[in-house]
Amino acid sequence: MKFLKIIFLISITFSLYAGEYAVVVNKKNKIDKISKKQLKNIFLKKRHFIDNQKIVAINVSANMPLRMKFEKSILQMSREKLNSFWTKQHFHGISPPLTQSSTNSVKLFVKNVDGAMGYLPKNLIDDSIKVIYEF
Amino acid sequence: MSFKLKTILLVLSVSLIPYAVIMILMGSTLKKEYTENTLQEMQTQLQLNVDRIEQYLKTLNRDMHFMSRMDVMNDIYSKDLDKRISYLLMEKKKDLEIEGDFYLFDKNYKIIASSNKNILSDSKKINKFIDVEIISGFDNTKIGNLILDFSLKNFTKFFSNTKSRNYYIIVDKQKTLFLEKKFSNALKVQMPLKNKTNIEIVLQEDKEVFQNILKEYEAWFYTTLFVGALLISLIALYFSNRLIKPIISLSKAANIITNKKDYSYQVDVNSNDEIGKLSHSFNTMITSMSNVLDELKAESENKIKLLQEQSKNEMLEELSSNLSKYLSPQLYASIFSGEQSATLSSKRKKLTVFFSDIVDFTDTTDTMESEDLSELLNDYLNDMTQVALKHGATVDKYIGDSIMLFFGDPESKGVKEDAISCVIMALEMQEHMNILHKRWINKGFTKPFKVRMGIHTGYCTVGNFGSENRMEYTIIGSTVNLASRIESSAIPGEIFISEETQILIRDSFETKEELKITPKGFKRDISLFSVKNENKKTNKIILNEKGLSIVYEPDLQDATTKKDLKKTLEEFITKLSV
Repeated sequence: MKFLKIIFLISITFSLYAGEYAVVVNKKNKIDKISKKQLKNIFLKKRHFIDNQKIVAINVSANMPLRMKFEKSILQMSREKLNSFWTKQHFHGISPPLTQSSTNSVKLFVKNVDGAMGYLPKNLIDDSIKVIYEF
Repeated sequence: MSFKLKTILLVLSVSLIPYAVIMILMGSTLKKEYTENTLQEMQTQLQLNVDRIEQYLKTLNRDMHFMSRMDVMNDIYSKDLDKRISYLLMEKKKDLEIEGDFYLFDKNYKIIASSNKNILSDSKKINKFIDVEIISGFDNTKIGNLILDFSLKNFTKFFSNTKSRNYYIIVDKQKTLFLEKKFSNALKVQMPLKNKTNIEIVLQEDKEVFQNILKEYEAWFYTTLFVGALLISLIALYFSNRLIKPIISLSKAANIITNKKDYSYQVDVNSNDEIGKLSHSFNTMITSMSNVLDELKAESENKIKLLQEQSKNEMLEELSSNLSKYLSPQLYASIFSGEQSATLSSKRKKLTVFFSDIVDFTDTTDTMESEDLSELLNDYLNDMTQVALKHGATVDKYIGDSIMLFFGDPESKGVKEDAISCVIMALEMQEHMNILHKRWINKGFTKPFKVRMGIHTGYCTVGNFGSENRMEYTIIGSTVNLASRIESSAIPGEIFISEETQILIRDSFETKEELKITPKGFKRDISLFSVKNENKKTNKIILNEKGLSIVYEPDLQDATTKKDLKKTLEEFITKLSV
C-alpha cells in the first residue's frame, strides 16, 4: 500500500511536474531530494549546506534559455529583480554562483566536484550524476 | 758649470719637477678613476636594468597570482571544456607581449589549458619559470597550478646594447645566452637576479674602445704635459735670464773696466733688489776708484812737476850760487829777491866808496912764481872780501890786486852809518893784514905786503851799465875817481879818507889831516885824513846797527846826564824786551 502510495505520488509528481530539466548533484552527494525552496535558497546563496554537505551552485551562462527557465520556475524572479538582488549581495561580499558556459561543462563540473549542484536538460543525464529535482 | 746654467737648472727643477710629478700623479689617478668610474657607471646601469627585470618579474608574478584567484579557474573541474581559461591565458599572453606560454595544470599535473594552441602533452618539457598554485574559490583547496614557461629572451628588451657595450645572461654559471658580440678584452660587471640566483645578468664593455678613449685622453694629457713643460721652461728661462742679466752685465762691466781701463763705465741699474743694490755699489765703487785714480794721477803729475821744478830749482840754485860768487852778495840778494831788476837803469845815490890795493904788487909779483902769486892773491882777496861782507859792503870788482867796494847800495843804514861801517871795515882789514902776514911768513913768503886804502863819500850813479846782453852793476861818477885817487895817494899800510867822510866819522874815530892833493880833473884841493885804529877816547862806545846808532862819550857826560841816560837806556831795554 505504502509502495503503491509512493508510486502514486511519484506518478502524480511526474504527471504534474515532470518537465524537460533536472537539478543534478555529484554522485557522492548524500542528498537524494531537495525542495524548491531549498533550491532557491542555494542558488541565491542564502544557504550553503544541506545535511552538512557544502553545496557549490553552478549556473549556466545568462543568455541560455535553460537559465531563463530555471530562474522563472525555480527562483521565480525576473532578471531585473535578480540583478538588483546580486548587486545588493555584492556589498555583503557575496557573489553569484559560478557559471559554466555549456551544459556539458556543467555536467563535467558536477561530476568532478563533490558539492556541486547544477541543472541540465534531461537528455544529458546519465549515471555519472544524480538527479535530485526535476522541472 | 756656469752660474747661468746653474740658475736655469735650479729654476727648471724647482718649477718643472713638481709640475711633472703632479701632472703624472694626476694622470695616473685620473686613469684609475676613469676605470673605476666606468665600472661604477656600468654597475649602476646594470643594477638599473636588473631592477627593471626584477620589477617586471614581480609584475608577472602578481598578474599570475591574480589570475589564479579568478573564478574562471574553477573550470579546471570541467577540464576547460568551454576554453574559457585557454582564452584568458591567450589574452594575457597577448597583453603582456611575452615570449613563452602560460600553462594550467590540474592536481595531477595534467595540462588543462594553455596560451599555446598546440597544447604540449608532455608536461615535463615545460620550463616552470613561474609556478603559482590555484586555490579553489569555494573550498580553499589546491586545484592546480598556473605555470609560465618563460623565455629568457624576454630580458633582452631591457638590454640597451651599444657598439662597445652589451648585456648577456649566464645561466647556472656556465650557459651563456644572447651574447651578441664577443670582446677579446672586456670590462665586466655581473649581477644575479634576486629570486633566480642561477640567472646572472652581465654587462660588458669593450676594453679596446675604453683603451682608445684612454689613449685619446693620454695623448691629450701628454700634449698638455709637454705644452705645460715648454711654457714653464720658457718662463723659467725668461726669469733666470732676467735674474742673471744684471750679473752678466756686472761681469761684462768688470771685464771692460779691466781691459780698457775705462773707469767711467757704468752698469745699468733697473731693479731695486739685492742685485740692483750690488750694481749700484759696483757703480759707486768704480766711480770712487776712478776718482781716486784721478787724484793719484793728478798727484803724481804734481809730484813729477814738483820734482822737475825742484831739480830745476836745484840747478838754478847751484847755478846762481856759482854765479853769486861773481857778484856781490847784496846785489845777488837784491836781484834774487826781485828788488833789483836786470834792466839798464841807474839812479843817483850818496855812497861811501872804498878802494884798496897792494903797494908795489907788480914788483913783488915779478919775483914770485905765478902759482904762488895766485895763491897769495886769492888768499888775500878772499880774506878781504870776507871782512868786507861781514860789514855789509858791496864788492864792486877786483882789479888785479885792488878791490873796489862801496856802502849804501843796494842796502843802506844811512849815509853816516855807511861811512862808519866802511871805516870800521877798513880798520879791520888793516888789522887782518897782520894775520895774513904771519900766515904768509909761515908759508915762506918773507916779504910782507902793505896795503893802502882810500875812502870817499859822495854822490854816485849806481845801476846796471853795459849792453842789453852783458851788463854790470856798478857805480860811476867823480866820487869813484876821487876815491881811487885818494887810495893811490895813501901811505902804504894807512887808510886815507876824504874830508866828506871825515866829517861823517870824526865823532867816532881819531883822524889826522895828512896832506892836500889836487887830483887830475879836480879844480879844488882835497884834504886827506888818515884814520887811526884806536878810538878817540878809551871809554867811548860806538854802536852802529840797523835802526840803532849809539855813540857814547863819557867825558861829555856829567853825573846828572849819566843818570838821565841810564834811565833812558832802562826804558829802552824794557821796550826791547817787549
